[in-house]
Amino acid sequence: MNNLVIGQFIPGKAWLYRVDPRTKILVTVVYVFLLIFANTWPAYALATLFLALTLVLTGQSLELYWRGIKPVMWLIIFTVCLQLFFTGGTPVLFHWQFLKITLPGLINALYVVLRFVLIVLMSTALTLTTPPTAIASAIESLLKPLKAIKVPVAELALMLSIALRFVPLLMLETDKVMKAQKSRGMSLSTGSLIKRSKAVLPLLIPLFIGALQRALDLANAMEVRGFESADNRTRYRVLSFSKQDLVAALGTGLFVLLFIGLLWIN
Amino acid sequence: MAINIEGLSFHYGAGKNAKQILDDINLTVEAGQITAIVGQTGSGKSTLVQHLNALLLPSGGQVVVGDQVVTSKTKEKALGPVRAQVGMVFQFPENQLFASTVLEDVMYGPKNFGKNDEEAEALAKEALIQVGMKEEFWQHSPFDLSGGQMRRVALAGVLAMDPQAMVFDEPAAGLDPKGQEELLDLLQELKAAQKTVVLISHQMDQVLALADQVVVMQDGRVAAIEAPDQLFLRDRQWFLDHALDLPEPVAFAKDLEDHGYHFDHLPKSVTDLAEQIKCQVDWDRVTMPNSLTGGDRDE
Repeated sequence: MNNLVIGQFIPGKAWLYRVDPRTKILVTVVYVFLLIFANTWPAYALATLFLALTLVLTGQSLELYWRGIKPVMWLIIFTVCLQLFFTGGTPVLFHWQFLKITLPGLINALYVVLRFVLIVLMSTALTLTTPPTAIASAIESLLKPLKAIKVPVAELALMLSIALRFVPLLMLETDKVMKAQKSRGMSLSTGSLIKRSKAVLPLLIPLFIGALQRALDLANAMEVRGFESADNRTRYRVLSFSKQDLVAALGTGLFVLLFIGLLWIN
Repeated sequence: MAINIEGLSFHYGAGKNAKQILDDINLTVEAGQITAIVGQTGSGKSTLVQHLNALLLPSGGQVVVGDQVVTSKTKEKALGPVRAQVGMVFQFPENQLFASTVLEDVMYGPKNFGKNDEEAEALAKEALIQVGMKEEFWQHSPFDLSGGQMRRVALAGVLAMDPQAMVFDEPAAGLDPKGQEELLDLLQELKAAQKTVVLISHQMDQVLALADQVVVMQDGRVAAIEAPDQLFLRDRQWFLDHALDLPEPVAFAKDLEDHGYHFDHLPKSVTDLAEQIKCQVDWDRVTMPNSLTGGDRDE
């Protein structure tokens, strides 16, 4: 369960770690948005170059990213098959019974793979170099303008960071309860479908009860320490833009200009 | 039923990211005895005991439970019988309760292992009585009980499976002194009933009082397998090196030995220690405070 690279934070000291999380989130959003419009090889080449630069700046090994891609491999293969076999057009490269592969289909499939891999790797680079708490406070900071229309941004951000904190805890707890019930003969891999779905109950109920108990404990702990409102709280780690952010912004700006230029030439 | 661990190794992950947790463990958990496993946090105790009922499969070597052999290649389906024979009580077992009544929760194990409703109910009732849960609670929801009662119900849930061997992972954690005592009594009852008991504990007094055999773990290896009266004869430095405490009476006896006292055998308990000290005290040199000798207070 802990082998998932996507969404995991790995401490490090490389350049990208020093960039403000808000910058990283914005760059990732812009990058993913632009990729939607990519429809030529030069555009993809440019996007790949930008990604490669980002990955180098994370200071992590390429093998790690390869491990990150592996779990989504099946999803990629599935989408590729859809694109490959169900895109019409000419010329037809291969024909066997109802299956046929066309040149546009082939190109489309390659585009899809590339787009998929680029997006996954870019978001991995974001979460790999940014602790979940930093992501939560960055989102809070970025959503601040919504306060004008009465959106409870601070509370939402607090909920987000608590939820993030609870994910590893719940995973640990699942493992524990699973082992306890397996010791009492629970089996999720045998029996009919109905029997199997019933077999999940002894796992789910203790988990829910544990989670509710934890939530109550947390609420009490926050209250005794004087928590009243999520608004206007000071922070231990204050987010601040610095030289790295300017460099990152300029780099991304250049990429956006070139990218739009490429699309426009086409 | 004895459990043999032969050349057991265990690691998470594969290739060069593999993290070795257990390395070349060889030991026999003797039938009908109490085996204590001690060692500092992270020494591999919990990982080791999870091999005893095949919750974890060995990466190398094998675990022989009764007449069943568990190796890295054993299929999931073959693990059921192993788990039916070796009951496992985790730390804070009350977290595993789920059913709508106490009785139903305790019946869950036996039913999973092929007992019909009547047999399971009989076993469950017997187990509940054994842990001291009164009949008036049997139809309650387990979540309405106190912490101590929930712990008993959870224990009964494993006892009701009527396993040949039972493994306890720090069973006394979070119990009050009375609860701890009752638990120790239960372990002795199990031994008296010819069950094999494995116990992870940090409380050396318990280990000394209960165990027939002590396994000391360090860094995923077995550092010693000895009877407790042998083990605690080792010098203090050894215990420091393995980050283990000495049982209170033993520590006290060793202190006295440094000051010229001599002990024929390791004191098993505080009473035993007191008896042995009594024989050695030079009573003529002792001046008792008045309050102890019952002297005249009006003086």
